Amino acid sequence: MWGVAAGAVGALALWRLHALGSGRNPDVVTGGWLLLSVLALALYGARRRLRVLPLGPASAWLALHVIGGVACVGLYLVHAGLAWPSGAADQALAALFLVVFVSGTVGHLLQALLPIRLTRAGDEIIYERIPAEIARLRAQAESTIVEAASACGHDTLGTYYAQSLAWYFDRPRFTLQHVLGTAAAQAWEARKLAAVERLLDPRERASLAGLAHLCRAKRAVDVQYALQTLLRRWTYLHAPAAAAFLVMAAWHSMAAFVYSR
Amino acid sequence: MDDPRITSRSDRSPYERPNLGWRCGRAARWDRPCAAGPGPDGSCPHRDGPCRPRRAHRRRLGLLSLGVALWTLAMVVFLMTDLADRAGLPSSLDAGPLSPAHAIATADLGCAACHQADGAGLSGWVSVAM
Amino acid sequence: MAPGGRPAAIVGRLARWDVPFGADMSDAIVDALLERPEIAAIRADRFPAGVPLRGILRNDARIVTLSPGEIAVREGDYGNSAFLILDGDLRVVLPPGLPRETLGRQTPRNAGWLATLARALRPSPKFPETRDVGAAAGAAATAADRDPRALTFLQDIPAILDRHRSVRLGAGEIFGEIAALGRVPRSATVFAETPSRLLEIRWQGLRELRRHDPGWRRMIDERYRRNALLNHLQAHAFFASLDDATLASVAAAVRFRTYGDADWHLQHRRGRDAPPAGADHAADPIDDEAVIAGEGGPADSVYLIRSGFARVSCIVGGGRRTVTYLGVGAQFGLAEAHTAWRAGGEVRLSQTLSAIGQVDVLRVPFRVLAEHVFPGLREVPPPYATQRRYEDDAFVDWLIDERWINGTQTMLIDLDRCVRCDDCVTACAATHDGNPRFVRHGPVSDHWMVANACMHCQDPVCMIGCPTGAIHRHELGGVVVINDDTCIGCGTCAASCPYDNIRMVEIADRSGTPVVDEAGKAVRKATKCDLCVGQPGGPACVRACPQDALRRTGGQALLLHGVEGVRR
Repeated sequence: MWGVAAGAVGALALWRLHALGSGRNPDVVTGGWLLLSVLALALYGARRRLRVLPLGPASAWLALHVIGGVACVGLYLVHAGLAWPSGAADQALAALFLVVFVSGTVGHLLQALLPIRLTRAGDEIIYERIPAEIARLRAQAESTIVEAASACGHDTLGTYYAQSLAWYFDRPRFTLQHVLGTAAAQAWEARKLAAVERLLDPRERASLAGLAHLCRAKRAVDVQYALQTLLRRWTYLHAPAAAAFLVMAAWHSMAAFVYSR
Repeated sequence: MDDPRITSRSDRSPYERPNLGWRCGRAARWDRPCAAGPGPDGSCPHRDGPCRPRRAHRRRLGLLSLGVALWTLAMVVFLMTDLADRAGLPSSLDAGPLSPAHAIATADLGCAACHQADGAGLSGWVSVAM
Repeated sequence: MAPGGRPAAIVGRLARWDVPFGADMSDAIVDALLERPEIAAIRADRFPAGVPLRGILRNDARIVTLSPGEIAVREGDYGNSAFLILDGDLRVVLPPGLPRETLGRQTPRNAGWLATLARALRPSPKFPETRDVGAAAGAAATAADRDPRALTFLQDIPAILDRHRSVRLGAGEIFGEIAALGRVPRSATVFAETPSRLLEIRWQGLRELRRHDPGWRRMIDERYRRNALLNHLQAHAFFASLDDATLASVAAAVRFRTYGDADWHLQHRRGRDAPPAGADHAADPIDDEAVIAGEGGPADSVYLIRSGFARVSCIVGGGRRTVTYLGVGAQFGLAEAHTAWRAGGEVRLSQTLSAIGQVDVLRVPFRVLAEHVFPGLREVPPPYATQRRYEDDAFVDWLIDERWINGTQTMLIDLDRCVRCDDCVTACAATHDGNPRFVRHGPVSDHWMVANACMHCQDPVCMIGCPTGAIHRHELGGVVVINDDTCIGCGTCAASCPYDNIRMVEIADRSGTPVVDEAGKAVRKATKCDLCVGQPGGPACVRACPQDALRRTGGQALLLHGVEGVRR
């Protein structure tokens, strides 16, 4: 399929050269093909909505979307060349095209790389269940504190939890660090748990070990949250930019066609 | 203590419904969502709760895309008006500066010197296109 | 009012016999049936008050009349009922059976494109799990009413009898019980030779008759063993060339045994629900399996798997290594027994065969093989072996120990490709009125997840105990489906499923008002994946995955994911 796409773009480029050589304006034709290709790319979004219909596997549609997207870059270059356009409308169009292409490329890479990281992180969880899981871990942590206090009569661990650890169980933390794959969260946990150890009696230390266990579980949730959020959020740039691009492309096509007469 | 790690497991938990448009607002506060979720119109059965239902990811994305598309269309239309022109905003039809020779040759009539459609209005555009 | 103080739609709660099997079963017909010797011999006082014999005949049975040539059951169809011949003569066609076109074999009737397009454009109900409540109670067809056999006649009976071997069945004889009770396809075609009347008993009623009447239990069990045995032997290539008399003598020598635990699915659930034990975790499951034939024992028999699964393993170092698993139709010990026959001396088994869950095994003794089979055997399959690396054993053991091998359409997700977009779940919901029928989570081994979706098991234990037959095998392809209209929400299937793939949901009407019964209790229905049966294009989840991460698979193909597989 890549070969077919490359061949089509190459053929159009050759035709354009030929047309220029014979004194014709090829831009309406190259622009028309570019518009058609872009509309074809938009069909992938439509296919995702028509899930009930047997329109072939979504993986094939995505593959065509990716190949077509790259081919559109070639078509764009054939149509508009490398120079940045000078008119405001054309600049907006070119900028949107760039945003769509770059965000799509980044998204494609994220979809190739992040699933493996998610699998290696372990503790698979459905994204919409993350809040409930955090609430569960938080409740377990709080009950650990209460048990520790009633067992030994000190509130040291409880006070420390409120001061330093409750923040961690409040919501997902270290999101950026988890996206980048650093061990910042692990280091933070180790530091916080070690800081209070000398103040605790043996029973509280057992509870601290339980808290450490919960911190590890929380970290696993945070990794899932960070990576799954990124897998969702990139579409918040790609899809709206593509929608705006389609509007601008339709406008540009209409205006260019009419003004070419 | 029971092993607190999430274990990917088969269990009897209810179906997840990513096709629904709204999600419980408690989840947005990192709390356990309510058993009865929001209605299809985003209404919450707990009238006095401290949270409000949130739009689900797919619904949000769709609305955002639609909103951006409509905004773009509105800007395109607006930038063709006299109001935008008087405000010094670029036109939707702005193709950029002409070469000096072309600029001199078309100084009197502007774009209409070469393009029939310029200033012709919608009906003019249609007739030029046909 | 519904739970929580909300307004509710009140309906009568469905009971087991609200939808009788046959609408025309009157008291007069039941009285006449009770006079028949096969039924008169049943002691009605052995039946509990809630499931009386009369009630079974009235509600779990119906009269079927057949004209000459009309097919009663077709080989290969899934069936949920057995037949007692009241009058007339029928013929059972012996292997190799009638050609497909003669049987009027149905091609799968998927919904057409227009219907599918209309469905795609129709907006989903706003509320989850809504039903048309007015139509729910007692209307619509059960699977039994969609009778796949009803529309095909055999045209030239004398020619068929001429060309195909058959056995006559007459009044008082029963057939079809193996398929009904065993949840397996019909093993033979049965058609009417003369005008006939049959009493069709759906398997729920047959279960009760077998349970409460010793005479019927003995009769069904003996027929089960005798007929299943012959059919099963004939399915094996090395018996195929034997004539009837020889095969009968082989059958007479075969021993039929069941190994393992019939309640394996309940044990499996209990074991899974128990918290992890830490350092003294339960022993390797392989050690708890009942041994059918042990490594080092004499290779003096061939073992044929009749139903269920068995594990082939061998000692490696200080442990036991799984070589492969065997399902219905597989054999164990043939290569070693043949070697012993050729060598003229004793040969020891190099592997162990053990029961996974419950397995029915036929044991064919060496002397029978030496006399009837080995002399004419051209090709001997080699012993089971594997070329897997040790590190890949974990995946195979996981598939077997967790019983994923039971599935024919296990949902396997490659987590290294899955982008967690939930397009699969959304597609499933779009195909089922806005209601998803699986959960995208489940146990993980390496990068493979077995999701919480019905696996359409080879042996669907969920069907055991369904009082109404709402959960049944669809006649097209044997997919396990639930008839929503006749499900009474008892939850038996959900409790029986070892994999938690059936979910009970509380239903609402189209306006979102919860539906309750007269006592104010929420009405529930069992729901699960139905493999999008009847929808064009197959399972929507597979089609919808943009990363090709999701597949529905089963059998030996399951083992091949990520490992090299097993050399036969």
